[in-house]
Amino acid sequence: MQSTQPIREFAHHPRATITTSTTLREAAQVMYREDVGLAVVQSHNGVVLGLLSERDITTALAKGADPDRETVMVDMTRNVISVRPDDTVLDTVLLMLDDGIRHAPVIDEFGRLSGVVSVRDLLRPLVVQAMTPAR
Amino acid sequence: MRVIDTIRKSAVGVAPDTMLHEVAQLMEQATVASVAVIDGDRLVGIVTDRDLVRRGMAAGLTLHVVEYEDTRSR
Repeated sequence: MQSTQPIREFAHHPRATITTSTTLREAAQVMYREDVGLAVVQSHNGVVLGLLSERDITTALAKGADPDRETVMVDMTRNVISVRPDDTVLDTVLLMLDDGIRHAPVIDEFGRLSGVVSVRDLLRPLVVQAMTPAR
Repeated sequence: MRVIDTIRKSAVGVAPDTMLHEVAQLMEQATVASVAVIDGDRLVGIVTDRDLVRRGMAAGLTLHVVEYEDTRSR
């Protein structure tokens, strides 16, 4: 792994995508089925509108939300911090550290989602690299 | 360094019959992602925010009844 490599090479396919009309319980079911802790909220034409984490759902429950009635529109994070596919690994890591985030959607110049990059996506190749004996 | 040197000394504990929405409220108030489930003086499990979402809500359980046995981490 090189710090100058584009982040698109490490991002994963977004498995959990939902819309603003998805209820909290439906979102929880999608995240459970896809085994992820974060869902991307998209418009019907694929533009990213927000992110919903398991913690966002917990916070909504604590406030007394009815998970079968309340939609993710209410509880999603709207100010999404994203990266471009050609941004470097280093730029992405610095962004994640500065903003205290563990996931960032990868969004192309048309505002469309091309992937999600997580801290885990970046740590795994680093660990593999560190454990591979030098030739 | 030992694990005992890194643990929080002020963990949040709940009784087994605590309702799930109350657990969510406790997690928010204490800004923690997990709570210990204590029966008398015995630690019987841990419930995380992921457990609440996955084993509680995603499984279709109602949040205002006792479902500790279904949701706790083992």
